[in-house]
Amino acid sequence: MSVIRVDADRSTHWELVSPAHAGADAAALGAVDVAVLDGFAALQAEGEPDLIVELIDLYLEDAPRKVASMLEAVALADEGALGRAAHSLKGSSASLGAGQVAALCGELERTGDDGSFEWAGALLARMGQELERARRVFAAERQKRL
Amino acid sequence: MLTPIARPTSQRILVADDDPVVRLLVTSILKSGGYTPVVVEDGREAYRVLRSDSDFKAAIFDMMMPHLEGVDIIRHMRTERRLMRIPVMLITSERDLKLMAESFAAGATIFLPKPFTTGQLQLMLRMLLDKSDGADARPRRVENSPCQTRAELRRA
Repeated sequence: MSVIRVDADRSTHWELVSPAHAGADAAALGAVDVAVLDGFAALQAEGEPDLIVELIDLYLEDAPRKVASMLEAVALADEGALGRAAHSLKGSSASLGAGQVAALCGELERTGDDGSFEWAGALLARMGQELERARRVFAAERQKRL
Repeated sequence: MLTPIARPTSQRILVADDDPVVRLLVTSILKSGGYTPVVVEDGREAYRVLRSDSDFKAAIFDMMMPHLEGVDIIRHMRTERRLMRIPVMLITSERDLKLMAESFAAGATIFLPKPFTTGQLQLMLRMLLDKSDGADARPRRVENSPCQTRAELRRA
């Protein structure tokens, strides 16, 4: 299943996943270092919403926007915009343990750096797959905390 | 005659980062340490806040932000007497030593590469605030930490 649907207007959407399919299956394992998420548990303030759920929600809301920016940047051959969007998603992905997504963002950042967009399309396609794997893990972790 | 600048007593820390995930992380870490984060979403907003408010114990900026980058705000802060004493931590997923050196030259106090753990940010914050309080402004080596000070960069 493709995670990110790109519409004609270049807006992007996550596919909705029913709770029955929200578990992290074997194919998604390893997409996110869950120990990184667990490391934030000590920061949970009493009486406040679950911090890890909030972090996951923010990430899942923001990541498609960054991918949309990257797609637009590639279409416009705008290396600066591609680099900024990739750099930004790299930071949040690495911060939440989504190492593969962060690594792909690093590659996309460098693609923008040298002005060559030859590989950007292929990298963005892989990005869609890696984000989907990460999303499955995040969805499962989120479910555990609700 | 110049008026002596009072030692900061505020627990407020200015945070500027365009990434909502990192903003929430940094904010949560600061709150857990008893600080009061004042959070903005980009460099321009940080600049606006600093025009009328200098009551900050420290500042934490993302290096790469829309409108005004972290280093641009630092350059502005180092030209304003009321803002000069505020130590600044730059956080970034950038690994470019030249960029880091430029940031130190502009007046950044400490660098913290992303991703960082809660402990790393807390440790670097303590070092940053030590500098602010004048307790010990010498760069210190942090074992097993990716954090870099100006002296470490010179050696790199």
